[in-house]
Order: sequence, then C-alpha cells, then structure tokens
Amino acid sequence: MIWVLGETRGDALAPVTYEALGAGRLLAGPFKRGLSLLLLGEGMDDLSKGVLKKADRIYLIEHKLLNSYTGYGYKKVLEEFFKDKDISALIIPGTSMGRDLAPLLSVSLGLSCLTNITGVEVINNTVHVKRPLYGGKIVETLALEGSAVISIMPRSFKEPEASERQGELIRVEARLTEEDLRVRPIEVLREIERREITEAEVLVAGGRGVGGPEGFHILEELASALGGLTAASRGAVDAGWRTHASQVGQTGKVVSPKLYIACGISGAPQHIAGMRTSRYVIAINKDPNAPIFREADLGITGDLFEVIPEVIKEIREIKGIQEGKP
Amino acid sequence: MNIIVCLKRVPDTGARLEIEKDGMELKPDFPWILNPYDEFAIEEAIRIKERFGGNVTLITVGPEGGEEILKRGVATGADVEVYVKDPLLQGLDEINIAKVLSAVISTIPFDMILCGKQGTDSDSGVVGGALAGLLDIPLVSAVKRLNILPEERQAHALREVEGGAEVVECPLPALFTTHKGLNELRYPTLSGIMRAKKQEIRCLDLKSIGIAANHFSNRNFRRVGLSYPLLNRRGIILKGDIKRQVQEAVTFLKDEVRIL
Ligand SMILES: Cc1cc2nc3c(=O)[nH]c(=O)nc-3n(C[C@H](O)[C@H](O)[C@H](O)COP(=O)(O)OP(=O)(O)OC[C@H]3O[C@@H](n4cnc5c(N)ncnc54)[C@H](O)[C@@H]3O)c2cc1C
Ligand SMILES: Nc1ncnc2c1ncn2[C@@H]1O[C@H](COP(=O)(O)O)[C@@H](O)[C@H]1O
Repeated sequence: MIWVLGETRGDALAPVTYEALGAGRLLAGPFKRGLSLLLLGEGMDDLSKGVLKKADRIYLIEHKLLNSYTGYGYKKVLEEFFKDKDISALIIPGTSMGRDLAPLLSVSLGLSCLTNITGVEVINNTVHVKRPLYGGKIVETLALEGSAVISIMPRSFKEPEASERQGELIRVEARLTEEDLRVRPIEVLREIERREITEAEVLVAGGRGVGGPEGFHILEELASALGGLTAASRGAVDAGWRTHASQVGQTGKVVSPKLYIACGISGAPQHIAGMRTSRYVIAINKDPNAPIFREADLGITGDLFEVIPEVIKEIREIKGIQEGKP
Repeated sequence: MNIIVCLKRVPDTGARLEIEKDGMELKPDFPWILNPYDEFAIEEAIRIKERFGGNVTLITVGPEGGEEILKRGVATGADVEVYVKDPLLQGLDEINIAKVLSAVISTIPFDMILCGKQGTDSDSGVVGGALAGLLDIPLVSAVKRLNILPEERQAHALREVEGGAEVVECPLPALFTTHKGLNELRYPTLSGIMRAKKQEIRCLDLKSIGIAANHFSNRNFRRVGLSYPLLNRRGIILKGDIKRQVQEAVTFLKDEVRIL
C-alpha cells in the first residue's frame, strides 16, 4: 500500500497534501497498489470531502491530542496504526511538520528515510526518485529497493486527477495521553496574514539592491498586483530589512513558484540554491554582469525603482482592461 | 549543562561542483566546510555553557576530514572532541549515521544534544530526528529561540512553522536542531585557536564502539546517477530604454507565464 500523510492549513487541507497524493498516485499506478490518505485530528469529515476521489481509502485517525502536531504524538499513533499493515512507501509533506516527523517515524517503523524528493518515476518496475544536492547544483537519482518514508518538496508534484470511484472513509480511534507527547505546544504565534512563501505561486524577491526596508513597499505593490508574496535574499535579511521567514536560499527556504522575480539580487550560489526550481524567473538588476541573469528567463537591466513602477502600471492597465470587459 | 553537538562536513556552499565521467560521484577537488547550521549549534552550546556551566562535547562521524571542523569548534570554546573515523562510514545514509552517533552518545552523560537543522549537502535533516528517536528523547526541530531552565530541567523553544511560529516546552534531556537566526556567531580567538591545536581529539572507530558492519540497517535505496539540473531558461537579457524593456517583460508575463 502507498500511504500519504495529509496536512491541514487553517480550515483546509494544505496544498502540499494534494501534491503528496499526486506523488502517491505516480507510485501506486504502475504497481497497481492502493493509495491511502491519513488525516489526523478531530473534525476532518468536511475536509475529507474534497479528496474522496483522490485516494482509494481515507483514514480519519481521531483524537483531541492530534489536533495540533507533536512529533511523538503522531509517531505513537502511527506506529500503532501501521502495526498490522504493509507499507511500500509513506509520503509525507516536506513542511515544518513533515521534516520533524519523517526521521522519527522512519526509525520507529524501521524504514529508510528520503527527504526533499522532487520527482518520482517508475522505470522497469523500479521506483526512481530525484532530489537536489548541494543547493540544487546537482540532481541525484536514487532507485528504491524497499520500503521508505519519502518526504516531498512542496510545489514539486501535481495534484492527481479525480478518479471515478469514491474513496472509502474509515474512522480510527487513536489512543494517546498527554505524557506520550513529550514536547508540549504552549502557544502558536500567527503572523497576521503571513502566507507561506513556499506555497506561493508568484514571488517578488528583493535583495540588498532594494536599499532599505522602505524600498520593499514597491515590491509589495508588484507582488499584490500579481497575486503573490514578497521574499528576500540573505543580503536583505541580514541588513534587518526583512525577517528570516522570508529568506530564500541555502540557509533560508527553497521555493518553487510559477514565477520568481528577483529585484536587486546579485545571484550568489547560496541564493540560487533556494530558487532554481522556479518555473519562470525574471531578474531586475542594474548591473548587466550580475550572475542572477544566468538563472533568468528574462533579464531587465536597470534601476529597480524605475523598472518596477513601470511594470505595475502596465499590469494595472491590462487588468483594468480585462475587468472592464463584460 | 553537558551539551553534545553533532557536526557534519559539507562541500563549501559557494564551490563549483563537477560530476565524474562515470556520472556517479563528484570530482573531489572542492573545499569542505563545517555545515553552516552546525555553527549555530556550537554557538548556542557555548552560550548555554557560559551561563550555566558544564561542558560542550563535539562529535563528528565520517571516513575523513573531521579534524578540521572539530578544531574550529574548540577554537570558539568547546571542550571535548570526539571523532568516529572509519572507512566503513563512506557513503553511509543518515539513519545509519544516527545509529553510530547514538552508540557513542549513549556512553556519555548529557543534558542536551544540538544538531544542525539540516546539512547543506543534501538538505536532508534526518540525522537529528533519527538520533532523538533512537535515544528516545524529546525532539524539537528548526529552533530559532532556546531557553533553558536548568532548575526545572526543562527547555522552552520557538520553532518556525508555516504562517508563524510555535513555542513548545519539553523536559531535558532533549535534542534540538538549530536554524539560522538562533544566535549571532562569534569568531575564534587567538588563544582559542592555540588551545584547539594542542587539544587531543578522542578518536574512535566502529569496532571500538561495538558496531559491526552488519549492525547497520538496510538502506533501501541506491544511487543511480548524478546529473546537472536541466535549466531550459530562455536567458534573454534586455538592455536600454526602460519602457521598451518593461513592455517586453509584460508580454512575456502575458504570453508565456500566462498570469495576466
Ligand atoms: C553559508 C552561507 C549561506 C548563505 N545562505 C544564503 C541564503 O540562504 N540566501 C541568500 O540569499 N544568500 C545566502 N548567502 C549569502 C550569499 O552568498 C550572498 O552574500 C547574498 O545572497 C547577497 O545578497 P544580495 O544579492 O541581496 O546582495 P548583493 O550581492 O549585494 O547584490 C545586490 C545586487 O543589487 C543590485 N542593485 C543595487 N542597486 C540596484 C538598483 N537600484 N536597481 C537594481 N539593482 C540594483 C546590484 O547590482 C547587485 O547585483 C549565504 C552565504 C553563505 C556563506
Ligand atoms: N556524519 C555526521 N557526524 C555527526 N553529526 C552529523 C553527521 N551527519 C549529520 N550530522 C548532524 O545532523 C544534522 C543534520 O544532518 P543531515 O541529516 O545530514 O541533513 C547536521 O547538521 C549535524 O548536526
């Protein structure tokens, strides 16, 4: 059986849950194996409706102590759950939850652990997985020869097609006590409206070339015109202009948006490490020799404070015309 | 507080890397560094020691090159260096590295273990969590703030999660993996460098810690090959009149990216 661990974000399933199901389908298909989704916590009934046709079985593992993630809590319950079940692969989202859980769970289930997987393929009945090494400078392909916990990089897999059949919903009651958790969550600090850059479709990233915290206003404006978020290089983070949560790169986050616009970023290898897998890249830099241009589909040579207002104006014009249509 | 810090050696993040003709290995001519995340772990350990006393033990496991990264840590204030060096460790996967670490660490009394959040080589982030699991101690990963309460034998930690952060509490001993932002690094002092030179590394091999090669669990995967990422970038660099450049860029957004 191919298993997928789901994750929620607010009152919905996180996008990476669908992506994990996509990766699961790629494995389940060629081997004619079933695909099962696990959702942990109470009140998942409504959420499971949206994925009923995306998995063969959906297990709702319920307990109030599973409502927020704890490594040992999840581990205990899953260990118990898998006792009498076979695992070909267990796919886990590569999020703050999944990155914490994957190694703990691998040890307790006695499985190998592969993280950061960006591609899955079945060749001659063997599963091949891909992962970036050394900040994406190299891609490694591995053949899977047994069962493994596989954590996937967000935005690397497509949501699977809905099947004809409705998946079977199975309810499981979990046993768990406070002591089992080991690590107790005391509070969650939500940054108001902070969406996660790893989950954004469009990112407008600024570097030292933005010149200061105020400079980011214009980037915010461009991001909102394109329905995206802003991000930053370490240059801008270390200068104290942006928080580390928005840093892209080797010691920040790896992002794969559809569109990445790098503004006033030179393109150091450690920065490229975080954005190389973006589908399209536009770079705006006043230095025609900036290395970022080598990683771009389109480079604009010029002062970002002249370029970006112009871009915003054009976008608004186009959007205005579209909105004006009946 | 007796603190253990696990260190890994990784290729310099700025290095150019090339693949050997056989497509299986890297050409070996690149510089190595201490994993950047492990620097935050060493720094945090030294800060905790300075506040509450105790000692800091650095451990690295691998077939070669561990001496240099251990010395760096001692130069900034760590006390003991342990190096498990064995040719059998070549190419070992993270779960088994954690097994080796757990075998060594279970012979040393400790209050906490610090690991980096991940190695910048494969960005795996597996060893820390696996080690916590093997030792059956609490795990808090990717911490950006750590507050030790030695009297209560407890720790409070802040870790980043999607859309915010969470504060958690756990009893000691525990394992924490360190994220950038946890602290500001210090530079080694001259006297530290001298001390590091003189201090002896405690060298161990697998046999001496009671691990035979068949002790390792199966790694259920095998490298098929290395390749360079496919870039397929259009690589069009515009110059000159800003208005004209912007118009081309907007056409690109409309016709290729299709987001307008
Ligand atoms: C171990 C390690 C880890 C690292 N991790 C990361 C990481 O995670 N993320 C990361 O980003 N970096 C990381 N770095 C740092 C990296 O090496 C670079 O120093 C950093 O990315 C530089 O940031 P920057 O491009 O914003 O600044 P700079 O390199 O200073 O570049 C600024 C650019 O802005 C351009 N510019 C200036 N003014 C304007 C203007 N008005 N209009 C248009 N263009 C303008 C300049 O031409 C220049 O190209 C790491 C380094 C190390 C050693
Ligand atoms: N060979 C090793 N020896 C000692 N510690 C290691 C080793 N490999 C990894 N670690 C520790 O585990 C962390 C995560 O590494 P990794 O799981 O390889 O991404 C590193 O930052 C180190 O703290």
